[in-house]
Amino acid sequence: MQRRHFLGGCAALSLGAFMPHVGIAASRDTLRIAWTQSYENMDPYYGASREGLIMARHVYDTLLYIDPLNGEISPLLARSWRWLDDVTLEFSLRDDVTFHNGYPFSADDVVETFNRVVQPDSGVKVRSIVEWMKGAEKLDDYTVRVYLARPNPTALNSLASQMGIHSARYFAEVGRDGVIRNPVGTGPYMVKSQETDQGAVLERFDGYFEGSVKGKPKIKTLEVKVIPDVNTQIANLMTGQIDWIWRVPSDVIDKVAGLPSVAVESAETMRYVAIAFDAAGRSGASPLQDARVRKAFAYAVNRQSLRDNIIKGKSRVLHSPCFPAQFGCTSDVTQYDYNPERARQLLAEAGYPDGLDLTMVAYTGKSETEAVAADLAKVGIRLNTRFLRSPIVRTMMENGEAQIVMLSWGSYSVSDVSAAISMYFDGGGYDMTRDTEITAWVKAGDTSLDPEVRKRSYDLALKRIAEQAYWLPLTTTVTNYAYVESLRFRAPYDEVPTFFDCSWD
Amino acid sequence: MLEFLLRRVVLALAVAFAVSIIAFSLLRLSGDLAQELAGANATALDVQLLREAYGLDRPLWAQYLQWAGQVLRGDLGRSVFFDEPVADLLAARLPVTMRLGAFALVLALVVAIPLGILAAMRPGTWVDRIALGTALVGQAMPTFWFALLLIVVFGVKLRWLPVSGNDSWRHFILPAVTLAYFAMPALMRLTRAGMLEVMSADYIRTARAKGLRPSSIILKHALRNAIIPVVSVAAVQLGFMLGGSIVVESIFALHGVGYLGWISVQRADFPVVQAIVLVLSLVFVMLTLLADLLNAKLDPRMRGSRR
Repeated sequence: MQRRHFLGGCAALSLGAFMPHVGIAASRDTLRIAWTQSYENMDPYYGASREGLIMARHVYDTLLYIDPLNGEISPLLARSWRWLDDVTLEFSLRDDVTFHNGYPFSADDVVETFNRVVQPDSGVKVRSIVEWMKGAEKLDDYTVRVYLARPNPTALNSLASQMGIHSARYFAEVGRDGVIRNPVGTGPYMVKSQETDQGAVLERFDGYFEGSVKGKPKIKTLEVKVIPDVNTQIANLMTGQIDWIWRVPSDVIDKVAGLPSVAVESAETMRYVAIAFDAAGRSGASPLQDARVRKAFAYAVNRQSLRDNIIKGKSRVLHSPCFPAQFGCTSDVTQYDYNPERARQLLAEAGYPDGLDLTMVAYTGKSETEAVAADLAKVGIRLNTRFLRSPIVRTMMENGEAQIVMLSWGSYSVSDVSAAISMYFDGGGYDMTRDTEITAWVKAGDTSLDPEVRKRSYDLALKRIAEQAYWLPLTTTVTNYAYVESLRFRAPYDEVPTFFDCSWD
Repeated sequence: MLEFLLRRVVLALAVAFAVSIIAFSLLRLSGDLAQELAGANATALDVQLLREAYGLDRPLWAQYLQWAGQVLRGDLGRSVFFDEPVADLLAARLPVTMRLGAFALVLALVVAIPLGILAAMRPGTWVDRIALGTALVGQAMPTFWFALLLIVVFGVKLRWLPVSGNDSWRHFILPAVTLAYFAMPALMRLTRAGMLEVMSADYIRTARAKGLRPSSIILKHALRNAIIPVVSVAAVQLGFMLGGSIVVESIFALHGVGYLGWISVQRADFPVVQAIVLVLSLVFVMLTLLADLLNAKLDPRMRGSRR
């Protein structure tokens, strides 16, 4: 893979050298999008891939809307909402919305969708999207109540990002398979055609309701194609066959940036990279149970250089394992600036004047781990890294078999610190730290609806994580976009790009 | 002849059965399928639910028997990822891969056989060197690199051909050329070697002595014997092309079986992987069988000699 990338990079370079000019101006009415991953379908519930989720955002609407640029939540299919108590939400719905097939939207659609997907045997691919909800109830045609299974501060987030509304009548007519094959939503785009795994054509829905925060699309047609090879995508971008690509590897993005009439953007994402230590000693007696060794590790890694030379773009060095804009995230914690001298001293104090050997498992970030290992070697820590597939790393974490883990975590695109840290510090399977105090704080934050209580709890947890150097957060990551220069596109940090707000110059 | 045929068919079935067991076991020994299916964002509960839903908590032999029973009844199962019958997925993609494979094989033969004959007619001359050199480059150059070169030259610079998709026959040209260049050297070398051997045989000298025209000697007498090994290898190469077009299919965004197999392995979509391995091994076995039969037809000596 590594070699292929390298050669791929050369190919991109030579593509550039060959290039006479980037041709054909993009046709105004159509935006041609390509991505490498195929997706199973574009349903908000019965699919699990990110690309499917992107499509779902265009075809379906949710009750609420989360602004991909600042995380703010506003009403979409709802006119307003309020909490009645910890586990009850009430929504007043819009009465001027229709589905793509002309069926009017009402409380029945919301109630039927929610009560169907919360059933344990509903076939929802990612249960965690819906498992927090107990069900919904219709009060009148445009008022519904949503009942939570337990207090959940990220409920609004789920309702705003994932939980699209199917038409109850259409679902009754065609069933689950029919809805997957011919999706009908209330969103700004309707599906004109789709072929599993190859692509789809979406067309602007002219009956889209006035006043939607998503806005009426300016571009009439979206053509989506699955092109698995990045170099082929770039060739298509150069010859004017494709207007927009993303997730371009960092080692080729600079070359793509040199192409005429192509704009690139390396946008920061919510995803963080961090190193987690087996501070609890579950993998056997380990030097990492000693906080001094963990701190030495932290002081030894030059994260600024890692950011500047490898991750690049708009990424930032992190001090807490969360995205700074997430609710409850704080950087006001113990910080370990690059200090190899201090690292050596701490190691000597801990009884390792001659250094020590450590083993890390990772599923991503080859160049990152190499940079980290090189830094560590300078203070005498010999880091041996094993690359495994992410599910295997997960299993090792669960079984307490990993001494050090390098993680890349996207928080399910949820702008709340609970999505960033809770599953790693709640005392459950993925908790390598097993600090009961942190677990209690995290639990308190996860179950309270009072923002102040939540902030305080997470603040305590994050401060202790840093103070004890249980984890070493490295940086945020970037997603690279490349598109024709005349396109107005805004890169989101939740890795769910939207096109209904795109336009041509 | 009938006995020969029966023996070959039984052997072919045995091979397919063995392959199905190996494919089935390897998939399950490669790691925790439920964990793989659930993906990086899954909770322990998600994994447990998946494990139960797909019966992955049951003993291996029970899982195999159930699967084999379904297959015998013509049911290849449902894709976990696409949530569609595997048979439908394969039916939609097999034509793409078949077209690519057939196109490439024809292309490879059309180049390899004349080039092999030419090289054998003038061994050691510049014609021979060019033929052998071309074959060497074809064998040495990684497929994806050659594919990228074709894209740069014909897609980006000259803009003669589309570089991705499978909308028209023009979309198949670059991928087929890539695949053909990969298969061509073996066929060319075999033709050349076969021709060299045959041309020094006694009956060719006799034919020459009779004063037959050289073209008649080469095409009627020599080639017919020299081509026998080429037939078997061509059938096997077609099998390789069908199974091994993964790289080519993904570079040129041809949505065929190879590409489906590749993404299914990545996603641990085991019903699809099992089905693809089974179907491709059956195709492979059938092609080998076909090659044997063709050989038997071309060379009567082989009918009895293989035990």
